[in-house]
Amino acid sequence: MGKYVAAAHDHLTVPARVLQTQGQEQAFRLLGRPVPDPVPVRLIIDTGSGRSTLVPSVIDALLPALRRASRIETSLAAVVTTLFWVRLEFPGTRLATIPEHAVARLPLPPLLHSFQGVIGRDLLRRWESLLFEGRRGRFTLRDSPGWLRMWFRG
Amino acid sequence: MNQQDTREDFLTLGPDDPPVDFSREQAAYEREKARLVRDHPGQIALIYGDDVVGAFACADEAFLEGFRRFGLVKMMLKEIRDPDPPDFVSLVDIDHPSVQKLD
Repeated sequence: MGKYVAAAHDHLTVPARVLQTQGQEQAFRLLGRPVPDPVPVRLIIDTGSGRSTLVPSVIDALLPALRRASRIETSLAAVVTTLFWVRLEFPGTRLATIPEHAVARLPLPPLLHSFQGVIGRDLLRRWESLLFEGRRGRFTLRDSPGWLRMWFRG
Repeated sequence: MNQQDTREDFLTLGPDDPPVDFSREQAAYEREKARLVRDHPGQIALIYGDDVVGAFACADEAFLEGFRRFGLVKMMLKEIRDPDPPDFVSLVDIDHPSVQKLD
């Protein structure tokens, strides 16, 4: 069971590291290629987005081979981009590693240049809950049910 | 694995490069979509060129099978689902050169 509690400032952010999936690391090692280093990122939680994203510079550093084309709709236009499967770790939190997840390679608006991507509902669906406590000024992510809920479930 | 098939240039993308062109692989998927949706919903399809190689439980499994057969070459993975609506993303710089707008 893992969770992450943080202050809710202007943006709800989660620290993460992005890596190649284990299968791709295995392929690189078999070919004698260096495996790219993990890339530390800060991701914004955006419940309005259906797909999680990473900015091009992060994706490009990982050389991910697991891909597909993707049509994305925004409030201004429909666009085409590429989806990449990556591994996500959450250092500094107790959230479990996500071994593979498909993220869209999309740049963030210039005002958000200090962030490297978005956690959308696709990733939030893999976790147990996102709790926003407005008056306490904090939010909590849980990747599995808490002990109290597990106890009630028997 | 045939080493001659190891063409790794496709791995490198520049920050302003447009999306990867998968029109050939997408067409191959569309040709087999009805069968895949019927027989393998929720799995991942592996497509190499004009061929749908198979359906797999996860992306890594699909990739490793493709790597074993063809090497580290351009392949497409696709979640098998129907309907398959586009995703909505609210925080995007749509004027960036890496983004290709649809008319």
